Amino acid sequence: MAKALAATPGAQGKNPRMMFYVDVARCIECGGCEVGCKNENEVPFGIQRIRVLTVNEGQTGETNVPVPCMHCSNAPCVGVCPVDALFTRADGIVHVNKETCIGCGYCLYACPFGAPQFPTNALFGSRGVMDKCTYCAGGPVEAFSAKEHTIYGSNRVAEGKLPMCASICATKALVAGDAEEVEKVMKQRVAARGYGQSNWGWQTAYQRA
Amino acid sequence: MTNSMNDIRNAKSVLIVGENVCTSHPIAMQHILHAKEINKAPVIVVDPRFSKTAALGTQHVGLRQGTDVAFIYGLVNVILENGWEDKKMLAERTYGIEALQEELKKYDLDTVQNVTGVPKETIRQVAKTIADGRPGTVIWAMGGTQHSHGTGVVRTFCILQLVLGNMGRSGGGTNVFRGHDNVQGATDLGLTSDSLPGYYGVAPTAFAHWANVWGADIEWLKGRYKSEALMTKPGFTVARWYEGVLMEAKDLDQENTNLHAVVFWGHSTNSQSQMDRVKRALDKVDLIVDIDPFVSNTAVLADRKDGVYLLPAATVYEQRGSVTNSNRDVQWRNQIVKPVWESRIDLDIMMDLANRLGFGKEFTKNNKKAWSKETLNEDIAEEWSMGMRSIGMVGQTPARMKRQQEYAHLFDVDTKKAKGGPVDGESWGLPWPCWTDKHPGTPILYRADIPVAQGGMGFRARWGKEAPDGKTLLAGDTVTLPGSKTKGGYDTVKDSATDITGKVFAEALAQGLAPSGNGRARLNAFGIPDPVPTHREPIHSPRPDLITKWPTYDDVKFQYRVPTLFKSLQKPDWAAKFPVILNTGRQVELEGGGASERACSWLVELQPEMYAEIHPELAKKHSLKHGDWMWVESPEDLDDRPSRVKVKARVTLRVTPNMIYLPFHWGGSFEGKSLASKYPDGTVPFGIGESANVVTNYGYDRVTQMQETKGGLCRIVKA
Amino acid sequence: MTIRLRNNSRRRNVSFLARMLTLLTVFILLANIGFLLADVTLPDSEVGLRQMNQHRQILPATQYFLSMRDSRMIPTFGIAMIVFVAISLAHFFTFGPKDMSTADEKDLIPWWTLTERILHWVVAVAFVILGVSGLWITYGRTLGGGGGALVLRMAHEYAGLIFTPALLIMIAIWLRNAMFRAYDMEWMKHLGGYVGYKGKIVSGKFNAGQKFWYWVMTVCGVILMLTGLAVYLNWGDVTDARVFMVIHLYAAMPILLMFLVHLYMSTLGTKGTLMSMFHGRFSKTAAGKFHSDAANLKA
Repeated sequence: MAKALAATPGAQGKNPRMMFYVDVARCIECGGCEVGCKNENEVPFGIQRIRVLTVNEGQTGETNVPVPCMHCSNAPCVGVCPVDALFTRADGIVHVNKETCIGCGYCLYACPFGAPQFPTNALFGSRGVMDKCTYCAGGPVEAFSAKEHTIYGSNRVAEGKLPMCASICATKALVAGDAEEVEKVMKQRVAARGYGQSNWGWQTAYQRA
Repeated sequence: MTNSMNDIRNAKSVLIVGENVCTSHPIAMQHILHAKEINKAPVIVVDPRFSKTAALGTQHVGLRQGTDVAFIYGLVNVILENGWEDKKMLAERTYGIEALQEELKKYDLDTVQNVTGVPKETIRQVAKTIADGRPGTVIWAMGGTQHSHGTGVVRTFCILQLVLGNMGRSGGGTNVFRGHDNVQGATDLGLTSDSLPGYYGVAPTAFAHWANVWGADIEWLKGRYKSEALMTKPGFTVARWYEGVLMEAKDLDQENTNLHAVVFWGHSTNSQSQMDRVKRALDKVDLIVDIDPFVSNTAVLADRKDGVYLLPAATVYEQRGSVTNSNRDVQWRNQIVKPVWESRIDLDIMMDLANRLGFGKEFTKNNKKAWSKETLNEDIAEEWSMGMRSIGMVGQTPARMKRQQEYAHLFDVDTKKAKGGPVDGESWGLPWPCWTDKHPGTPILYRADIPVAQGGMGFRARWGKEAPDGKTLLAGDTVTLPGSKTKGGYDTVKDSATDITGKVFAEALAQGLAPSGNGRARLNAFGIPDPVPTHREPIHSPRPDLITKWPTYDDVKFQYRVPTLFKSLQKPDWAAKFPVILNTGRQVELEGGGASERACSWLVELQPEMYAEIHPELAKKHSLKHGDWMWVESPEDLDDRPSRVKVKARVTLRVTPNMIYLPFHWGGSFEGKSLASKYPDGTVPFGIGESANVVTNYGYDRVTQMQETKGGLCRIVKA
Repeated sequence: MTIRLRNNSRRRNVSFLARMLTLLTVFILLANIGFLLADVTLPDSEVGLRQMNQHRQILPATQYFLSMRDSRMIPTFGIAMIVFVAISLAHFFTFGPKDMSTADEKDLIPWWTLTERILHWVVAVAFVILGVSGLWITYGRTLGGGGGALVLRMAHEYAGLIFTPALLIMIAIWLRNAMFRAYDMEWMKHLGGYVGYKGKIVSGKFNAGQKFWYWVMTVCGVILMLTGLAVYLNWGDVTDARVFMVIHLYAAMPILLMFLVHLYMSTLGTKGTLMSMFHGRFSKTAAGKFHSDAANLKA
């Protein structure tokens, strides 16, 4: 577990704080992120670690919102978990320990984004343990192990890569990376566009302006 | 396209007519968003439906299906009456303005509003917006082409851009987004029934040229055909091949012969209209061969016990070779994985067939050498490079293409040009015309402000020096490319299309001349039906009151070996019996016939079912709720009863109450019955559904025989 | 609905009913408010959590769900349960159990029908599973997660599904017995004689204490059942789910405390009554002493 938790030192030797910038002015609901994630992590049927939601379909103001787990600062899911299965890594990524999780659903109730998902694969179709976006950073087991791949999916972060969804995004609507870099991109776009912020979920997740 | 998708980043306005970029070309959308965000370019999306692209654009113009000509002419009229046109371009580089002006008289704004449904004020405003936003780009796709007068529609886009002076400049152009990543390559290589590779056609001169390239004996070639008449006559189109099976031999233009075999090579039948007639042909034809990595719709559509052969083909990842995209970029592809299981590379299958049919040796040799097994794809590239003189697809040698792969990081996304390294100055993909192996490619066609050696050229002088009315077809004196030894316009350089040594090209470039000449773009394209495009109501028109004034063409006796009906099917009473406009198009999760995508669980999970988009009002009228089953029925046309499909209602505000929208990628279900049991074990796709093309109406473009699938009629019945 | 007394005086009955219900309500509220009060004086670190959640601009009602885990209510409740057990043991070692046993076979009369017994035990077993698993989830940070806890959580769901119909039937068949009467006030005044009163106390089939337990079980049980079904079957949206979870936890507290009382009273607190819930018979003598107004006796 210690190996997987070790954060990669970021620029200027500081620990990175990984986050998502969801630019709803760019998302075209192409589904690349959804399919890329499923393929990369072999996510079971019925679970979507990232979903693209469309509001006001067919009307002016129609907007598409990709919703992964935002890996919030002071994540509410971490706060409510009755068995402390959820935790935040030093680099800000929020993981669930699937071997501790009891599938009670409190994290789903706490999450402002609906990121936790539950397969119905326990006895008699009962809820199994929680699954959610891992930021393509595997889970709290040895990195690149078969166990990690089976239970949590791929570990791109430990290879120095960014999550699959952001990497594959057709229009760079979903930007992932260290907070400093991501904020730079965000500010550049806002300045270039000259109109309001389109960073959906930013304040709720990170409590930053 | 004349420019490129990247070049859209330089546009000051973007007019998208009949294309849904977000759904059909999602990766290209980033360039349009760049123009929108950085250039503050207005992005005007003209579509009957409020598509995803309309949502991401700055303005949506909802026009009636098939009324693009009227709409564009409305814009042109506003531009001309305000003096916003590019007078120099019109005077120096176009022919036929008088004929155009005569046609334009019919399109006063009241008429345009009546025909298109677009308010006059909107037409005026759009015209001003695109006139102010120059250079501006015009983008289209099937929404423009799939009409019975589709050729005319496409030409009005060209006319608009000529009038605005947006041709031959960065940020402008007439930019059709082609439907697949290599369909441009396919048409360039002559996969149409009316041309050998390079758009030479099928006339004796065309065969003579290619016989030269192939090192083939022309008499031997002639001997392969039933007659020289048939050899030089365009064949069937993919849209109507099945008539060659269904009709009596004597009613075909094929010397009293039917079609007896059909080979589908990486193609699906559910993208053709009138699919139930296709099915009948598949039931009847002697032999069906389907070459595909996945079991396509074709394999399971026919009701027959034998005569169907499925040959497993390798996918794009299992072979290497060149591909050509909408930008005219020619790129090399590497083999990532060896063919899996029993799949075989297409070329492998082809050569095996050629050998067994007895012409293997002729197939693999050309003027210079024979193809070798180790460098097969490279040899083929060098062969077409030798012969494709007409479009200048010459300089894209395998070595150059592979070198571009290696130095991809040196190319700039806005200009497509490389800086530094051995690729310095090259344009990505060496877009044709790429006259020699030193030429950098022509990313923007018809630029008269740079030398030919750097990618400049005039409009092609393809129709001679003079029009039938005596006016010149060569560019004016002011249109002189830098370094050109000839002032103003000039004809196609002699023998430039047939010289395979390269000497003619080299000499032309040394003189600063483009081998294809420096001519005038024709606003009046004498010699083709509708020399000046005109609005024509779709064959199945929802506005019978407009049929008299804007009728379709007269029936054609023979077009690509079959008779094609127009006027005789344009009945005023269709609209009453089939009051809903039928629209087809794409959904982002699937592509084309959908066999490979519907075999992917991730994609099917996102959209597991076939559906019809229907407005809440129309749904309510038929007591349909979201998710209810409904029948869509279409006019009987050549059959004795309407065709029908059973789909789920997807209630949405995207469409207007007078239309429905069906994605066309589905198959595996026919007229309400599942075909799942007909798939070989283990090959049923995760998603099966009805094919929209069962209900698309009869209708074909006057010139190309493209199907009229963007503007038909249907009716709805709750299931 | 008329409550008929032997002396047919109805006006006085209403006030008795009102008083009983008031007592019940007060008990449930006290239990909850007591634990809520534990949160009012939160230390700074937990106030911070509340403020953070306010910054998220989520609804006040659901902020409570988010901070509930870190509130003092949960540890306070745990202490309350321990206190109740302690009081029970203290009572056992001081006042001692009431003797309702008999050695005489002929003294036994039918008291609980087969239906009542089956129903009682079905509800009891389901309740115990629900209680234990519910408490494990609530105290999961101390007790731990993992495979066993996952099984317990699933058991909570299945037990809840069994609890639902069984409880409703049980409420129905014992409703008449559970209605409060005038003499219940007397029972309450002397706490049924369990803390030293030696005089005669009249009770029906259920004494006031048992009736009280019935009503806590009914009210809180139904609330638990409904909120539990609501989250299990995904009624409403996520905001509703958060509210349901909070109510679920609050309804569980009085019921668990009363359960501890019931557990003591039916085992250590009395002699000879536990077996009656198995074989269905009770000492006629004891019944005459402690449940003189019971219908069984009049037969």
